[in-house]
Amino acid sequence: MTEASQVLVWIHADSLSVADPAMIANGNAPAVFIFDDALLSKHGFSHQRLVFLYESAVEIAAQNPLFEIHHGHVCETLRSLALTFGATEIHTTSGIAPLQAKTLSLLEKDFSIRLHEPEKFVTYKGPTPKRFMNFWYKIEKDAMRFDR
Amino acid sequence: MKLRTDFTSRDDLSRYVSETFGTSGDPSPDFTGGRTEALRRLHSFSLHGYAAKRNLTEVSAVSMLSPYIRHGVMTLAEVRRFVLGKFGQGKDTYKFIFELAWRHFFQLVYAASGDKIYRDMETGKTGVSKYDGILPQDVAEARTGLRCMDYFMQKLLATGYLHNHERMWFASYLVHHRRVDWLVGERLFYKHLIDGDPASNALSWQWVASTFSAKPYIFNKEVLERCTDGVHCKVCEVKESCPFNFPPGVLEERLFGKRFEQ
Ligand SMILES: Cc1cc2nc3c(=O)[nH]c(=O)nc-3n(C[C@H](O)[C@H](O)[C@H](O)COP(=O)(O)OP(=O)(O)OC[C@H]3O[C@@H](n4cnc5c(N)ncnc54)[C@H](O)[C@@H]3O)c2cc1C
Repeated sequence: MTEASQVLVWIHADSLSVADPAMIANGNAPAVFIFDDALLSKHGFSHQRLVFLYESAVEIAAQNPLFEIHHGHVCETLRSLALTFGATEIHTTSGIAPLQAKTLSLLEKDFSIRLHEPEKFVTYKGPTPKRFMNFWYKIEKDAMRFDR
Repeated sequence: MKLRTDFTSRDDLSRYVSETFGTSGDPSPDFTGGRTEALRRLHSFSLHGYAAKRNLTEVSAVSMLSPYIRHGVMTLAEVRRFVLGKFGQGKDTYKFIFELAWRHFFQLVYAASGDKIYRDMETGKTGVSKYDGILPQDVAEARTGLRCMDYFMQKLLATGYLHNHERMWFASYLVHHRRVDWLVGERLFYKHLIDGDPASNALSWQWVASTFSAKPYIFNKEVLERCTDGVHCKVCEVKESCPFNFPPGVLEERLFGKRFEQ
Protein backbone atom coordinates (compact mmCIF):
# COMPACT_ATOMS: atom_id res chain seq x y z
CA MET A 1 0.00 0.00 0.00
CA THR A 2 1.83 3.05 -1.16
CA GLU A 3 -0.49 5.04 -3.41
CA ALA A 4 -2.38 7.92 -1.85
CA SER A 5 -6.09 7.30 -1.57
CA GLN A 6 -8.93 9.35 -0.30
CA VAL A 7 -10.72 6.28 1.01
CA LEU A 8 -9.73 3.45 3.29
CA VAL A 9 -12.16 0.51 3.38
CA TRP A 10 -12.55 -1.31 6.65
CA ILE A 11 -13.56 -4.93 6.13
CA HIS A 12 -14.88 -6.45 9.35
CA ALA A 13 -15.82 -9.97 10.42
CA ASP A 14 -19.51 -9.51 9.53
CA SER A 15 -18.69 -8.81 5.89
CA LEU A 16 -15.48 -10.70 5.23
CA SER A 17 -15.97 -11.10 1.52
CA VAL A 18 -14.69 -10.20 -1.90
CA ALA A 19 -18.30 -9.10 -2.41
CA ASP A 20 -18.21 -6.65 0.51
CA PRO A 21 -20.39 -3.68 -0.56
CA ALA A 22 -17.99 -1.03 0.79
CA MET A 23 -15.06 -2.54 -1.10
CA ILE A 24 -17.05 -2.97 -4.31
CA ALA A 25 -18.12 0.66 -4.17
CA ASN A 26 -14.46 1.70 -3.91
CA GLY A 27 -12.85 -0.51 -6.52
CA ASN A 28 -9.32 0.84 -6.30
CA ALA A 29 -9.10 1.90 -2.68
CA PRO A 30 -6.92 0.27 -0.05
CA ALA A 31 -8.77 -2.01 2.33
CA VAL A 32 -7.93 -3.75 5.58
CA PHE A 33 -9.16 -6.54 7.83
CA ILE A 34 -7.92 -6.39 11.41
CA PHE A 35 -7.81 -9.23 13.91
CA ASP A 36 -8.84 -7.44 17.09
CA ASP A 37 -6.32 -8.35 19.79
CA ALA A 38 -8.66 -7.42 22.63
CA LEU A 39 -11.43 -9.63 21.25
CA LEU A 40 -9.04 -12.49 20.61
CA SER A 41 -7.79 -12.50 24.16
CA LYS A 42 -11.30 -12.09 25.57
CA HIS A 43 -12.74 -15.09 23.72
CA GLY A 44 -9.71 -17.31 23.14
CA PHE A 45 -11.04 -18.34 19.73
CA SER A 46 -10.15 -21.81 18.55
CA HIS A 47 -7.49 -22.38 15.92
CA GLN A 48 -10.17 -23.52 13.48
CA ARG A 49 -12.13 -20.32 13.83
CA LEU A 50 -9.05 -18.21 13.21
CA VAL A 51 -7.95 -20.27 10.21
CA PHE A 52 -11.41 -19.87 8.68
CA LEU A 53 -11.30 -16.10 9.13
CA TYR A 54 -7.76 -15.93 7.83
CA GLU A 55 -8.55 -18.00 4.75
CA SER A 56 -11.53 -15.80 4.00
CA ALA A 57 -9.33 -12.71 4.30
CA VAL A 58 -6.53 -14.18 2.17
CA GLU A 59 -9.01 -14.74 -0.63
CA ILE A 60 -9.74 -11.02 -0.63
CA ALA A 61 -6.01 -10.30 -0.78
CA ALA A 62 -5.76 -12.49 -3.86
CA GLN A 63 -8.30 -10.29 -5.66
CA ASN A 64 -7.46 -6.87 -4.29
CA PRO A 65 -3.74 -5.97 -4.31
CA LEU A 66 -4.45 -3.06 -1.97
CA PHE A 67 -5.97 -5.25 0.72
CA GLU A 68 -4.01 -5.95 3.90
CA ILE A 69 -4.51 -8.13 6.96
CA HIS A 70 -3.43 -6.76 10.33
CA HIS A 71 -3.74 -7.59 13.97
CA GLY A 72 -3.79 -5.10 16.80
CA HIS A 73 -6.05 -2.42 18.20
CA VAL A 74 -8.77 -1.92 15.59
CA CYS A 75 -9.34 1.80 15.99
CA GLU A 76 -5.65 2.66 16.19
CA THR A 77 -4.80 0.48 13.21
CA LEU A 78 -7.51 2.11 11.09
CA ARG A 79 -6.34 5.53 12.14
CA SER A 80 -2.69 4.89 11.37
CA LEU A 81 -3.40 3.22 8.01
CA ALA A 82 -5.70 6.05 6.99
CA LEU A 83 -2.96 8.53 7.82
CA THR A 84 -0.38 6.48 5.91
CA PHE A 85 -2.56 6.66 2.81
CA GLY A 86 -3.64 10.21 3.32
CA ALA A 87 -7.20 8.89 3.44
CA THR A 88 -9.81 11.31 4.68
CA GLU A 89 -12.72 8.87 4.48
CA ILE A 90 -13.27 5.49 6.05
CA HIS A 91 -15.85 3.34 4.32
CA THR A 92 -17.30 0.18 5.73
CA THR A 93 -20.33 -2.05 5.41
CA SER A 94 -23.07 -1.51 7.94
CA GLY A 95 -23.16 -4.13 10.66
CA ILE A 96 -25.00 -4.53 13.94
CA ALA A 97 -22.17 -5.33 16.36
CA PRO A 98 -22.00 -2.61 19.04
CA LEU A 99 -18.22 -2.68 18.72
CA GLN A 100 -18.42 -1.50 15.12
CA ALA A 101 -20.48 1.53 16.09
CA LYS A 102 -18.11 2.26 18.96
CA THR A 103 -15.04 2.07 16.72
CA LEU A 104 -16.59 4.36 14.12
CA SER A 105 -17.67 6.88 16.74
CA LEU A 106 -14.05 7.16 17.86
CA LEU A 107 -12.94 7.85 14.30
CA GLU A 108 -15.63 10.22 13.12
CA LYS A 109 -13.95 13.24 14.64
CA ASP A 110 -10.95 12.86 12.33
CA PHE A 111 -12.38 11.10 9.29
CA SER A 112 -15.53 11.21 7.30
CA ILE A 113 -17.31 7.87 7.80
CA ARG A 114 -19.44 6.30 5.11
CA LEU A 115 -21.60 3.24 5.69
CA HIS A 116 -22.58 0.96 2.81
CA GLU A 117 -25.73 -1.11 3.22
CA PRO A 118 -25.70 -4.85 2.58
CA GLU A 119 -28.67 -6.27 0.70
CA LYS A 120 -31.61 -6.89 3.06
CA PHE A 121 -33.11 -10.33 3.57
CA VAL A 122 -36.60 -8.87 3.86
CA THR A 123 -37.88 -5.32 3.95
CA TYR A 124 -39.46 -5.60 7.44
CA LYS A 125 -39.59 -2.27 9.24
CA GLY A 126 -41.85 -3.05 12.22
CA PRO A 127 -41.04 -3.13 15.92
CA THR A 128 -38.31 -5.43 17.23
CA PRO A 129 -39.81 -8.91 17.26
CA LYS A 130 -40.03 -10.97 20.47
CA ARG A 131 -41.17 -14.38 19.28
CA PHE A 132 -40.10 -15.95 16.04
CA MET A 133 -43.44 -17.30 14.81
CA ASN A 134 -45.17 -13.93 15.11
CA PHE A 135 -42.29 -12.42 13.18
CA TRP A 136 -42.36 -15.14 10.52
CA TYR A 137 -46.07 -14.59 9.80
CA LYS A 138 -45.33 -10.93 9.23
CA ILE A 139 -42.46 -11.50 6.78
CA GLU A 140 -43.48 -14.82 5.23
CA LYS A 141 -44.93 -13.36 2.01
CA ASP A 142 -41.99 -11.06 1.46
CA ALA A 143 -39.46 -13.80 2.23
CA MET A 144 -41.06 -16.24 -0.19
CA ARG A 145 -41.48 -13.75 -3.02
CA PHE A 146 -39.12 -14.40 -5.90
CA ASP A 147 -39.42 -11.21 -7.92
CA ARG A 148 -38.71 -8.52 -5.40
CA MET B 1 0.99 -5.30 12.81
CA LYS B 2 0.74 -6.29 9.17
CA LEU B 3 0.30 -10.00 8.53
CA ARG B 4 1.28 -12.25 5.65
CA THR B 5 -1.02 -13.05 2.75
CA ASP B 6 1.34 -15.22 0.68
CA PHE B 7 0.85 -18.85 1.63
CA THR B 8 1.95 -21.89 -0.28
CA SER B 9 -0.63 -24.21 1.26
CA ARG B 10 -3.32 -24.55 3.91
CA ASP B 11 -0.76 -26.07 6.26
CA ASP B 12 1.51 -23.10 5.73
CA LEU B 13 -1.35 -20.73 6.61
CA SER B 14 -2.37 -22.85 9.59
CA ARG B 15 1.20 -22.84 10.95
CA TYR B 16 1.37 -19.08 10.56
CA VAL B 17 -1.94 -18.65 12.43
CA SER B 18 -0.51 -20.76 15.27
CA GLU B 19 2.68 -18.70 15.41
CA THR B 20 0.83 -15.40 15.24
CA PHE B 21 -2.02 -16.07 17.64
CA GLY B 22 -0.61 -18.84 19.82
CA THR B 23 -3.32 -21.35 18.89
CA SER B 24 -2.83 -25.00 18.13
CA GLY B 25 -4.59 -27.74 16.22
CA ASP B 26 -5.59 -28.44 12.65
CA PRO B 27 -7.78 -26.39 10.35
CA SER B 28 -11.39 -27.57 10.28
CA PRO B 29 -11.76 -30.56 7.97
CA ASP B 30 -15.25 -29.33 7.05
CA PHE B 31 -14.81 -25.64 6.31
CA THR B 32 -12.38 -23.74 4.12
CA GLY B 33 -12.74 -19.98 4.31
CA GLY B 34 -13.63 -17.76 1.37
CA ARG B 35 -16.39 -16.92 -1.06
CA THR B 36 -15.25 -19.37 -3.74
CA GLU B 37 -15.95 -22.22 -1.34
CA ALA B 38 -19.18 -20.60 -0.13
CA LEU B 39 -20.48 -20.36 -3.70
CA ARG B 40 -19.39 -23.89 -4.51
CA ARG B 41 -21.39 -25.14 -1.53
CA LEU B 42 -24.44 -23.08 -2.36
CA HIS B 43 -24.45 -24.20 -5.98
CA SER B 44 -24.01 -27.86 -5.15
CA PHE B 45 -26.52 -27.87 -2.26
CA SER B 46 -29.51 -30.06 -2.98
CA LEU B 47 -32.59 -28.79 -1.23
CA HIS B 48 -34.65 -31.86 -2.12
CA GLY B 49 -35.86 -33.49 1.08
CA TYR B 50 -34.69 -30.64 3.33
CA ALA B 51 -38.08 -30.22 5.06
CA ALA B 52 -38.33 -33.90 5.93
CA LYS B 53 -34.69 -34.53 6.71
CA ARG B 54 -33.20 -31.40 8.24
CA ASN B 55 -33.64 -32.76 11.78
CA LEU B 56 -31.73 -35.95 11.02
CA THR B 57 -28.13 -35.65 12.11
CA GLU B 58 -26.72 -38.64 10.23
CA VAL B 59 -28.08 -37.55 6.84
CA SER B 60 -26.41 -34.69 4.96
CA ALA B 61 -29.61 -32.71 4.41
CA VAL B 62 -28.47 -29.32 5.68
CA SER B 63 -26.39 -26.77 3.78
CA MET B 64 -23.49 -26.21 6.21
CA LEU B 65 -23.40 -22.63 4.97
CA SER B 66 -23.58 -21.09 8.43
CA PRO B 67 -19.91 -20.00 8.81
CA TYR B 68 -20.09 -18.21 5.43
CA ILE B 69 -23.40 -16.54 6.22
CA ARG B 70 -22.31 -15.58 9.72
CA HIS B 71 -19.22 -13.78 8.44
CA GLY B 72 -20.96 -12.14 5.52
CA VAL B 73 -18.91 -14.13 3.03
CA MET B 74 -22.33 -14.51 1.45
CA THR B 75 -25.54 -12.86 2.57
CA LEU B 76 -28.88 -14.29 3.68
CA ALA B 77 -30.45 -12.25 0.88
CA GLU B 78 -28.42 -13.89 -1.87
CA VAL B 79 -28.93 -17.38 -0.45
CA ARG B 80 -32.69 -16.71 -0.34
CA ARG B 81 -32.73 -15.46 -3.92
CA PHE B 82 -30.61 -18.34 -5.18
CA VAL B 83 -32.76 -21.12 -3.68
CA LEU B 84 -35.99 -19.51 -4.87
CA GLY B 85 -34.52 -19.20 -8.36
CA LYS B 86 -33.17 -22.72 -8.51
CA PHE B 87 -35.78 -24.72 -6.60
CA GLY B 88 -38.97 -22.65 -6.86
CA GLN B 89 -41.45 -22.26 -4.02
CA GLY B 90 -42.09 -25.82 -2.76
CA LYS B 91 -42.07 -27.06 0.82
CA ASP B 92 -38.32 -27.60 0.96
CA THR B 93 -37.69 -24.02 -0.11
CA TYR B 94 -40.28 -22.82 2.40
CA LYS B 95 -38.64 -24.67 5.27
CA PHE B 96 -35.16 -23.53 4.28
CA ILE B 97 -36.14 -19.86 4.02
CA PHE B 98 -38.00 -20.25 7.33
CA GLU B 99 -34.65 -21.28 8.86
CA LEU B 100 -32.80 -18.39 7.21
CA ALA B 101 -35.41 -16.15 8.81
CA TRP B 102 -34.43 -17.40 12.26
CA ARG B 103 -31.05 -15.83 11.72
CA HIS B 104 -32.61 -12.58 10.56
CA PHE B 105 -34.90 -12.58 13.60
CA PHE B 106 -31.93 -12.99 15.97
CA GLN B 107 -30.06 -10.23 14.15
CA LEU B 108 -32.96 -7.81 14.58
CA VAL B 109 -33.13 -8.58 18.30
CA TYR B 110 -29.37 -8.06 18.59
CA ALA B 111 -29.52 -4.80 16.65
CA ALA B 112 -32.08 -3.51 19.14
CA SER B 113 -30.61 -5.01 22.33
CA GLY B 114 -26.84 -4.89 21.75
CA ASP B 115 -24.84 -6.55 24.51
CA LYS B 116 -28.00 -7.04 26.59
CA ILE B 117 -28.33 -10.35 24.74
CA TYR B 118 -25.70 -11.61 27.20
CA ARG B 119 -28.14 -11.17 30.07
CA ASP B 120 -31.44 -12.95 30.59
CA MET B 121 -33.84 -11.40 28.08
CA GLU B 122 -36.78 -12.50 30.24
CA THR B 123 -37.29 -14.22 33.55
CA GLY B 124 -36.63 -17.92 33.12
CA LYS B 125 -39.68 -20.19 33.27
CA THR B 126 -38.02 -23.18 34.94
CA GLY B 127 -38.40 -22.08 38.55
CA VAL B 128 -34.79 -23.16 39.12
CA SER B 129 -33.11 -20.52 41.27
CA LYS B 130 -29.43 -21.37 40.88
CA TYR B 131 -27.23 -22.35 37.96
CA ASP B 132 -23.50 -23.12 38.10
CA GLY B 133 -21.06 -20.66 36.59
CA ILE B 134 -18.48 -23.17 35.37
CA LEU B 135 -18.39 -25.93 32.82
CA PRO B 136 -18.32 -29.29 34.63
CA GLN B 137 -15.04 -31.05 34.04
CA ASP B 138 -16.57 -34.30 32.81
CA VAL B 139 -18.50 -32.33 30.16
CA ALA B 140 -15.40 -30.38 29.13
CA GLU B 141 -13.39 -33.58 28.85
CA ALA B 142 -16.17 -35.47 27.06
CA ARG B 143 -16.37 -38.19 29.67
CA THR B 144 -19.88 -37.87 31.08
CA GLY B 145 -20.50 -41.47 30.09
CA LEU B 146 -23.39 -40.35 27.87
CA ARG B 147 -22.21 -41.29 24.40
CA CYS B 148 -24.31 -38.63 22.70
CA MET B 149 -23.10 -35.71 24.81
CA ASP B 150 -19.48 -36.86 24.79
CA TYR B 151 -19.64 -37.20 21.02
CA PHE B 152 -21.09 -33.69 20.61
CA MET B 153 -18.30 -32.22 22.69
CA GLN B 154 -15.63 -34.09 20.76
CA LYS B 155 -17.18 -33.12 17.45
CA LEU B 156 -17.37 -29.46 18.46
CA LEU B 157 -13.67 -29.43 19.29
CA ALA B 158 -12.60 -31.46 16.26
CA THR B 159 -14.65 -29.77 13.55
CA GLY B 160 -16.01 -26.46 14.87
CA TYR B 161 -19.53 -27.46 13.80
CA LEU B 162 -22.56 -29.18 15.28
CA HIS B 163 -25.87 -29.95 13.61
CA ASN B 164 -28.71 -27.75 14.89
CA HIS B 165 -30.27 -30.56 16.89
CA GLU B 166 -26.94 -31.57 18.40
CA ARG B 167 -26.62 -27.97 19.59
CA MET B 168 -30.13 -28.03 21.03
CA TRP B 169 -29.63 -31.33 22.85
CA PHE B 170 -26.25 -30.39 24.22
CA ALA B 171 -27.55 -27.01 25.41
CA SER B 172 -30.61 -28.60 27.00
CA TYR B 173 -28.46 -31.20 28.76
CA LEU B 174 -26.03 -28.63 30.09
CA VAL B 175 -28.61 -26.13 31.29
CA HIS B 176 -31.49 -28.33 32.46
CA HIS B 177 -29.86 -31.60 33.51
CA ARG B 178 -26.57 -30.19 34.79
CA ARG B 179 -27.97 -26.83 35.88
CA VAL B 180 -25.18 -24.84 34.31
CA ASP B 181 -25.76 -21.18 33.46
CA TRP B 182 -26.60 -20.83 29.75
CA LEU B 183 -23.85 -18.22 29.42
CA VAL B 184 -21.22 -20.88 30.19
CA GLY B 185 -22.42 -22.92 27.24
CA GLU B 186 -22.68 -19.82 25.12
CA ARG B 187 -18.98 -19.02 25.79
CA LEU B 188 -17.95 -22.56 24.93
CA PHE B 189 -19.82 -22.54 21.62
CA TYR B 190 -18.67 -19.04 20.71
CA LYS B 191 -15.07 -20.01 21.12
CA HIS B 192 -15.27 -23.14 18.99
CA LEU B 193 -18.12 -22.87 16.48
CA ILE B 194 -16.81 -21.59 13.17
CA ASP B 195 -20.22 -19.99 12.69
CA GLY B 196 -20.08 -18.62 16.27
CA ASP B 197 -22.34 -15.58 16.12
CA PRO B 198 -23.23 -13.25 19.00
CA ALA B 199 -26.94 -13.17 18.21
CA SER B 200 -27.71 -16.67 16.95
CA ASN B 201 -25.62 -18.25 19.66
CA ALA B 202 -26.60 -16.27 22.76
CA LEU B 203 -30.27 -16.09 21.82
CA SER B 204 -30.46 -19.79 20.94
CA TRP B 205 -28.97 -20.65 24.33
CA GLN B 206 -31.56 -18.36 25.91
CA TRP B 207 -34.29 -20.00 23.83
CA VAL B 208 -33.28 -23.40 25.22
CA ALA B 209 -32.95 -22.02 28.76
CA SER B 210 -36.42 -20.32 28.59
CA THR B 211 -35.09 -16.81 29.14
CA PHE B 212 -36.05 -16.01 25.54
CA SER B 213 -38.96 -18.40 25.06
CA ALA B 214 -42.20 -19.42 26.75
CA LYS B 215 -40.83 -22.69 28.16
CA PRO B 216 -37.55 -24.60 28.47
CA TYR B 217 -36.53 -26.81 25.57
CA ILE B 218 -36.15 -30.44 26.55
CA PHE B 219 -35.87 -33.62 24.51
CA ASN B 220 -36.14 -37.28 25.35
CA LYS B 221 -34.29 -40.41 24.30
CA GLU B 222 -36.93 -41.39 21.76
CA VAL B 223 -36.41 -38.14 19.83
CA LEU B 224 -32.64 -38.26 20.01
CA GLU B 225 -32.53 -41.90 18.99
CA ARG B 226 -34.85 -41.30 16.04
CA CYS B 227 -33.02 -38.24 14.75
CA THR B 228 -29.57 -39.80 15.15
CA ASP B 229 -30.53 -43.20 13.74
CA GLY B 230 -29.57 -44.60 17.14
CA VAL B 231 -25.83 -44.24 16.51
CA HIS B 232 -25.09 -43.02 20.03
CA CYS B 233 -27.65 -45.05 21.98
CA LYS B 234 -26.51 -48.31 20.35
CA VAL B 235 -23.07 -48.01 21.90
CA CYS B 236 -24.00 -46.14 25.09
CA GLU B 237 -23.26 -47.93 28.32
CA VAL B 238 -25.71 -46.12 30.61
CA LYS B 239 -28.66 -48.03 29.11
CA GLU B 240 -31.40 -48.11 31.79
CA SER B 241 -30.09 -45.09 33.68
CA CYS B 242 -30.23 -42.81 30.60
CA PRO B 243 -31.39 -39.43 31.96
CA PHE B 244 -33.36 -38.78 28.78
CA ASN B 245 -35.36 -42.00 28.78
CA PHE B 246 -38.73 -40.64 29.94
CA PRO B 247 -41.87 -39.31 28.32
CA PRO B 248 -41.62 -35.50 27.95
CA GLY B 249 -44.09 -34.70 30.75
CA VAL B 250 -42.31 -36.99 33.20
CA LEU B 251 -38.99 -35.45 32.24
CA GLU B 252 -40.37 -31.98 32.97
CA GLU B 253 -41.62 -33.15 36.37
CA ARG B 254 -38.20 -34.57 37.16
CA LEU B 255 -36.27 -31.54 36.00
CA PHE B 256 -38.56 -28.70 37.07
CA GLY B 257 -41.14 -30.22 39.39
CA LYS B 258 -43.91 -29.13 37.02
CA ARG B 259 -45.28 -29.68 33.55
CA PHE B 260 -45.46 -27.09 30.81
CA GLU B 261 -48.34 -26.77 28.40
CA GLN B 262 -47.67 -28.42 25.04
C1 LIG C 1 -27.48 -23.59 21.30
C2 LIG C 1 -27.41 -23.15 19.86
C3 LIG C 1 -26.38 -22.31 19.44
C4 LIG C 1 -26.32 -21.86 18.11
N1 LIG C 1 -25.29 -21.04 17.74
C5 LIG C 1 -25.23 -20.59 16.45
C6 LIG C 1 -24.19 -19.71 16.05
O1 LIG C 1 -23.33 -19.33 16.84
N2 LIG C 1 -24.16 -19.30 14.75
C7 LIG C 1 -25.12 -19.70 13.84
O2 LIG C 1 -25.04 -19.30 12.69
N3 LIG C 1 -26.14 -20.51 14.21
C8 LIG C 1 -26.22 -20.96 15.48
N4 LIG C 1 -27.25 -21.81 15.85
C9 LIG C 1 -28.33 -22.07 14.88
C10 LIG C 1 -28.18 -23.32 14.01
O3 LIG C 1 -27.87 -24.43 14.80
C11 LIG C 1 -27.12 -23.16 12.91
O4 LIG C 1 -27.32 -21.96 12.20
C12 LIG C 1 -27.23 -24.33 11.89
O5 LIG C 1 -27.09 -25.54 12.56
C13 LIG C 1 -26.16 -24.16 10.85
O6 LIG C 1 -26.09 -25.28 10.01
P1 LIG C 1 -26.46 -25.18 8.47
O7 LIG C 1 -25.77 -24.02 7.84
O8 LIG C 1 -26.20 -26.52 7.85
O9 LIG C 1 -28.02 -24.91 8.54
P2 LIG C 1 -29.17 -25.03 7.42
O10 LIG C 1 -30.23 -25.90 8.00
O11 LIG C 1 -28.63 -25.40 6.11
O12 LIG C 1 -29.77 -23.55 7.40
C14 LIG C 1 -29.34 -22.54 6.49
C15 LIG C 1 -28.92 -21.30 7.26
O13 LIG C 1 -30.02 -20.77 8.00
C16 LIG C 1 -29.56 -20.24 9.25
N5 LIG C 1 -30.16 -21.03 10.34
C17 LIG C 1 -30.62 -22.30 10.27
N6 LIG C 1 -31.16 -22.68 11.44
C18 LIG C 1 -31.02 -21.64 12.27
C19 LIG C 1 -31.38 -21.40 13.62
N7 LIG C 1 -32.03 -22.31 14.36
N8 LIG C 1 -31.06 -20.21 14.18
C20 LIG C 1 -30.43 -19.25 13.46
N9 LIG C 1 -30.08 -19.41 12.16
C21 LIG C 1 -30.37 -20.59 11.58
C22 LIG C 1 -28.05 -20.38 9.25
O14 LIG C 1 -27.47 -19.20 8.77
C23 LIG C 1 -27.82 -21.53 8.29
O15 LIG C 1 -26.56 -21.52 7.69
C24 LIG C 1 -27.32 -22.26 17.19
C25 LIG C 1 -28.36 -23.12 17.62
C26 LIG C 1 -28.40 -23.55 18.94
C27 LIG C 1 -29.52 -24.46 19.36
